[in-house]
Amino acid sequence: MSHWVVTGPAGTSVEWDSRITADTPNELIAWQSLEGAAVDNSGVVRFEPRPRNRGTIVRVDLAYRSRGGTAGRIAAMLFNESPEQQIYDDLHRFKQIVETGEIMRSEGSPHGMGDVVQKRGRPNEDEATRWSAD
Amino acid sequence: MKATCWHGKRDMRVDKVPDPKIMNRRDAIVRVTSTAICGSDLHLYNGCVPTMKKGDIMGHEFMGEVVEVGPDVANLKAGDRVVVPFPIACGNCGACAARAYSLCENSNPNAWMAEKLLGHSPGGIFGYSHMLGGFAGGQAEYARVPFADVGPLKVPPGISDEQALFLSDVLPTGYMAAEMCDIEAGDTIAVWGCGPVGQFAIASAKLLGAEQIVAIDRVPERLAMATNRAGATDAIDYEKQDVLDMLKDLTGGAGPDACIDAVGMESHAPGLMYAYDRFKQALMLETDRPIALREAIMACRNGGTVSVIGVYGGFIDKFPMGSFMNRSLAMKTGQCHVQRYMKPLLARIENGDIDPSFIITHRMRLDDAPDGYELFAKKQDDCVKVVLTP
Repeated sequence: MSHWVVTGPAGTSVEWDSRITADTPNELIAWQSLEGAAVDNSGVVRFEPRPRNRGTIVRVDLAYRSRGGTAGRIAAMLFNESPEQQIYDDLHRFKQIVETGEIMRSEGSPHGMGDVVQKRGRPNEDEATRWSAD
Repeated sequence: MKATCWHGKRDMRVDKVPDPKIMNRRDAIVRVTSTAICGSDLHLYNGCVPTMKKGDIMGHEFMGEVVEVGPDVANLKAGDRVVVPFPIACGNCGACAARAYSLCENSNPNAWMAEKLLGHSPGGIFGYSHMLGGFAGGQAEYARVPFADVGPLKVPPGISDEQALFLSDVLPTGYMAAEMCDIEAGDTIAVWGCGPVGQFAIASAKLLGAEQIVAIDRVPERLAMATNRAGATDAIDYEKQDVLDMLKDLTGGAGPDACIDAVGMESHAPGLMYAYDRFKQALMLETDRPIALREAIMACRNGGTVSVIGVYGGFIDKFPMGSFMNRSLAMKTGQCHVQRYMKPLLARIENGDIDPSFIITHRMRLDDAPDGYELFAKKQDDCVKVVLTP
């Protein structure tokens, strides 16, 4: 189980608990937020070998539904008009970490890819360690 | 520190800016000893490249002394003298593993911008707009060099800055242009554009075994340099002679085995086609002017190769696709994968096969960079290459 805290605009935050529902090594990890989450969400990360030994394709399917009210509005802002772009940026950052050890920074984009657009959700410290690449 | 900064179309200024800092663990900071203005910098100078911001630091051809290294840089230390390749490459992605360094999958933090225009993002480049990474360039006193364990090449003490500097870009670029022609001994190669890259493409074609190398330009001094210094066997002034006729004449009617476009998007020509392209650009219906490219395609022999090393940014009009397809032509192109060529070309310099400094016509202080840009852009004072020292 993991506890997620997502910071929103003006110092607000949204929290929920999630449970891993499937975990097949080298293939997939799936999760589901628990009852009472401000934002119901579930998702799967799949790992697929690319032909000709050219690495691994990582696919994310994410579903979410926010209740109304403040939490819902925050969630809507966080996921933005383009949740696909946000996930894409996250995956690209993940690739940079796996292949180079860090997120690429430039003088023009000192926070790296897409991070300046908005803050992203962060799991608590234990989970961060578990998911970070070596 | 001082740096050459972009302030708008034809407005380069030397500003006081903050010194660069280590931002990633594999960075190094280099104190720049020599830096040059590139022909592709002129596309930025002329306002042809989108996503530039006032204050952006220019320059992607530079070398100098390492002054600081990040914690994960094992191969360099302060005091090392290095020349830095213009593409930024991580060394570990699929593209880098295939030695296609200018296509690095991890080095563009603004990949999403490039994807919108180009379909996929290439790798990041020093000092070449936010779309290609937003990296500060090297026309400055100091530069931050990412992935310092992959890019920079140590320069041996016997080689001067003027001999080594062009390993950063124009020499490998000219070499790759020639290499893409798949030259067989005895071939005829025609080169459009006798700027620095064209000069090195000609010299490289000779090293690679071409027997007849035709230089095409309109500036007499550049044609003379191509013939006297670079190794061209023939020269065509396109304002005085018909290029296609001359090339047929030189090759018994067949056309060159390969044609190199070392001109790119700001091509110029007298006559109607140029007027057409300028008109369409003014109406924003076309972004690039492919005049040299059209000619290179039409001139190339059946079954030959068109090697495009000149830089393009957007879209072109009236591409001779009929000629290209019906005559089995091939096109090879790309931003040079500089890291691939630096060591072998340094060896060529060390054993005297080539002295790249022959292209230098102007030496100026960094403070005078704006004048250097103007001279180079207007091709005044027989300008071919401007080298700046901070």
